[in-house]
Amino acid sequence: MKKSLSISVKDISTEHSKFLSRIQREKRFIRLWQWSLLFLIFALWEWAARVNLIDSFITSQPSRIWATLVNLYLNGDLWRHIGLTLGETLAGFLSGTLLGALIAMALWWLPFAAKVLDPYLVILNALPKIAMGPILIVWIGNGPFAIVAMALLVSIIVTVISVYTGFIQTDTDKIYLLRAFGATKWKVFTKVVLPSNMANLVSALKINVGLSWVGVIVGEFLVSSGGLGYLIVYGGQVFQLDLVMASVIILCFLAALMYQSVLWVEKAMYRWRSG
Amino acid sequence: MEIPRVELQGVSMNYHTPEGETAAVANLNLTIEKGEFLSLIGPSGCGKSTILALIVGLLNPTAGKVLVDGIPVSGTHSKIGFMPQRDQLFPWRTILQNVLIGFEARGKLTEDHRVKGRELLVKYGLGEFLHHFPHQLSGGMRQKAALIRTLVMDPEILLLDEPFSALDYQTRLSIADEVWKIIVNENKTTLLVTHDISEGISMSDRVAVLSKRPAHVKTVLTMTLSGERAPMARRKAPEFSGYFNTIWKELDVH
Repeated sequence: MKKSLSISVKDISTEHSKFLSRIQREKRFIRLWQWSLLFLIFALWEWAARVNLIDSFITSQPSRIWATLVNLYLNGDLWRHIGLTLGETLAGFLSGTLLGALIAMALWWLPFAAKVLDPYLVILNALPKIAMGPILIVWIGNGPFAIVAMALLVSIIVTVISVYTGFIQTDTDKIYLLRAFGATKWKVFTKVVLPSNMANLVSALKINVGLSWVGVIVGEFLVSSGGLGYLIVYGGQVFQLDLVMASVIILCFLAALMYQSVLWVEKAMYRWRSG
Repeated sequence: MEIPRVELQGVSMNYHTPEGETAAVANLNLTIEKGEFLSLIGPSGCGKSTILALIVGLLNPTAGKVLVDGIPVSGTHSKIGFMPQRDQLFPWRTILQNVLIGFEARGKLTEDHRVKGRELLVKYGLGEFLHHFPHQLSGGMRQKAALIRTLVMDPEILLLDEPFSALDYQTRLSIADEVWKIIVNENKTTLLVTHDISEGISMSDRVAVLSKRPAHVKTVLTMTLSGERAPMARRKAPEFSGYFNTIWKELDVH
């Protein structure tokens, strides 16, 4: 609170400082409620399981989830599974986003190719990528690479379409201005198209965080002998809901962490843009 | 006889779309002398922007010749400075960065250019706003920054495409005055495209009236107004309304 109040406060009126501290108070209040709500859900869950209001064999319960996590940690499996899934997701996310953006750029550069490929993109976009799972396994083998390929496949087409759409909607007057200055196509791209599509690129990143998790977990459902998706499927098959819930909770945590990282990337991108 | 700065000889321009062919410009002849301020006035949609694009070198005429200093235009060239409708300042760049975009577009931004951009901004009253973003400036100031973005490239010919049309009336009058002074001060040949008759009369040495599409020059009038030369003062000159009526009739809006 002090930090934000001390921004060059020379002559902030008492009214304004009251206003500032009120926003701060409200912020903390919201935070408090958010944590309380989480705590409440877990407490209620635990209580309901203990008094047999719900069947913990089916619903699991926080204390058993915790015990499962500790167990996984102690026999050294926890980090292996997390590492595997996280690695696959990052690889899928980065390759899907980067390749997608590069393809979008190529399509912007070559309008003829864009016209030719348009129906292919539309159909690939409509196709449920999960249907490609068996093909990927046959081609790549049932290891982590097939799973990364799955994550890539899920995110790449959406990226291409959304980023390309943004690129071609770049303000033509701004492009005209640069061309009148004698800019090459490359300069037009780096000086107008890319910076004016920052919001568009960031939103592609945000969507892809979610999509690459979907791709990886689905991939792990299909193949794999490790990772959180594997734990979920395995836990389901042997009716160990504790394991399933524990994995889902880790997933929540990881997904949140990755989303936060994207927000950092977003800030860095905007800093780059404003020189 | 001296070679004119810009010369359009029998220029025609047709656009083709699947729906058909549109003639935007037909057999247009126009000369702009060195150092003069010429306005093109025409009904909206008559092909004024096409004429500018031909001189900028972003379009090739279907027929005829476009000459700058006696040399046919092919592609963009550094003699021309183009100032668009609305300021087109990039919102993610500061005013100084915006002013330097032309050098960046050409891939040669040096420290000298930076100094020059800074100097021009200071000289024309935007010194306080070097590191502000466009949205922090008023419409008039933004338009001035857009002019400086063009001037900093040191073009010999300025092409202004309805540069004040997005401004409110009062800002428009005062910024037109200021822009005119800057242009005279920098000693540039200027072509102003406008649909505002008063603006054309008050700012120009000559006014060329265009026909409806396909555009050709109907008449060229030399503005001789008594009194001070600045646009604001000229609006009060006794000859002003006479020119206004002549151009109004030539435009034949009805």
